[in-house]
Amino acid sequence: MNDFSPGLENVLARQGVTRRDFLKFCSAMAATLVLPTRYVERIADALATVKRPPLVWLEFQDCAGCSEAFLRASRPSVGDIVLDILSVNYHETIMAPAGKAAVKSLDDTVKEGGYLVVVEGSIPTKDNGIYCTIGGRTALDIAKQVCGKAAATLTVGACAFYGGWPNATPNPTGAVGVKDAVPGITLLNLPGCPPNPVNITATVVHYLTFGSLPATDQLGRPLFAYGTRIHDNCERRAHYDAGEYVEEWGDDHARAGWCLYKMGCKGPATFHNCPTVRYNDGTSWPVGAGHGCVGCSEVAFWDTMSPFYRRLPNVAGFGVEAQADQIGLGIVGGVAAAFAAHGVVSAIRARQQPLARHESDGVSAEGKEG
Amino acid sequence: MLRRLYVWEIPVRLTHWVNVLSIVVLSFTGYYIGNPWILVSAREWYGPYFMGIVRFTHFVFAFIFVASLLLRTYWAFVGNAWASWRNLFPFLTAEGRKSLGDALKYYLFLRREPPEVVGHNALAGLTYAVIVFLYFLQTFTGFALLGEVNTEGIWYKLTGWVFVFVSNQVLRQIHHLIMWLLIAFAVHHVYAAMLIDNEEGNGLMSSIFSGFKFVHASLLKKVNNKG
Repeated sequence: MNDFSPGLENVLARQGVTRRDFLKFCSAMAATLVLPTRYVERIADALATVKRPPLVWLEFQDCAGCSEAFLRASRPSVGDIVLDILSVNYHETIMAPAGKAAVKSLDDTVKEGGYLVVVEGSIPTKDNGIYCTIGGRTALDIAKQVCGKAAATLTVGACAFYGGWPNATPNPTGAVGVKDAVPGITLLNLPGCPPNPVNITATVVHYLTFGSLPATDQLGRPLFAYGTRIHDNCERRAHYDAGEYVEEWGDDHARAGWCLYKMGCKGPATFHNCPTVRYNDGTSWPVGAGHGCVGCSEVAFWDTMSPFYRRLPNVAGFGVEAQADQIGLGIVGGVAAAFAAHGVVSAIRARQQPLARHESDGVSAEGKEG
Repeated sequence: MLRRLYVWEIPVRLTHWVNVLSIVVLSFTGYYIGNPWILVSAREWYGPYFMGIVRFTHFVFAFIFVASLLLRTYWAFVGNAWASWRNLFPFLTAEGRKSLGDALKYYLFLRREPPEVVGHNALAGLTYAVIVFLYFLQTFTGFALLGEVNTEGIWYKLTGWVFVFVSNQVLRQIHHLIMWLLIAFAVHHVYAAMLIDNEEGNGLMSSIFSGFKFVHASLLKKVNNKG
């Protein structure tokens, strides 16, 4: 299969994708990767001639939402082109073979080597990882084998990034992301719930064009997609700076498109390129649609970004609705009350037992208590 | 007899008041940034950029505060005995431990006489150790949150590693809580100063303006002998 490489352009031409469409796609990829325009040509050359690398898509504790996001891109420009570039040998949701035949295609690919792995879903580690098994093998076992021999591993979604929803407190299955389950591999994280298919595609295009994964931040997320905060590129940012905020859902300010900061928008805490790339072929994105960001591309966002409609997380150990500012105000009030009481007692004491020291100072203390 | 003694040097007093001013400004602007409760009319000249102005003010005073902390830290090593960093750790010396016990007993009404000291008492010194630690945490969390605006900038380079361990939302929460702890400290601090000023009659309140305290001749002799 893999040695047959008729050239992407020919394949696309047969499907009615013109060279013009193809170059538009290459331009969009260069723009997403924040590359200068001269790289459009290089991307086009690389994609037109590259040997189709085999790809394995593993699903563990997931909802298949990342697959859905990737496959539901409407025009041929994103999903189809990448699916034509790549030789997807294993993807549980969309592959034709089933049962032993499916397992065989995975085994064959692993044996051959030089493949890319995309991991979707978290990996349970508690009780020897029995909470997710495929074909009798645990997710941990499969991940170690498949990711361990891959040329590179891409995680898509929050679950494969750090554990996602299954990892949220109390994390009953001991779910972790690929980074913790299989340490030391060539890994790139594309978190999000779901991640933007444009970013997945752009990462693959970068790999095919330059033969390497794009530069990442300290959490292993590519900088082209996760290098800036949502808040700093948001279309509602001017309203934030102006102090114009939505106060409750459906009020006049919400209709006017003001900033969602007070409604708990986590844009100021989240690194992602949603405001510029947007979802569903650039149609819209959460804040554009009038709902605050929930911070889905950050570590432990179910725990640290919730409550989603409030500014700060709740403080553990202080009841459900206790926020830092209420507790802080309570502390200040408590301290003030305690010292007020101390002051009253001190005043009574000073009146009843004047300090002997003052008498010997030669300083007249008369009238002090008067 | 009481003698007039120069205790608080100029850098000590200067940084004290710069800290007061910047903590007040930082608390108000910081609270507004966390919860912008004032709705500013767009017709006001400052309206179209109100949050921007508040944040700018917050950052400017943050830098002033840090400059003050740096000066005070320097002075803790080169200043006089009452400005020294040693005051933060009274439990290191036997004298300090005794003073610590005496101060505690005095505050708990178990002892009538407040401990006789020239600078601040051992319990106050220990409290300042906690406050210095809170200042450090507050500065660090502040710069870490500021650094996220530009991940190529110096502040992110210095503090960004923390986000591997702590979520920025939790850091924000800590930043809020420390503000309240510092306000609670300010309540305690002003009360304790009033109490000691009243009880010791040493001119404590005016000393933070003038630098001079009034101490007993006997205590002064002890200080001179030690010096």
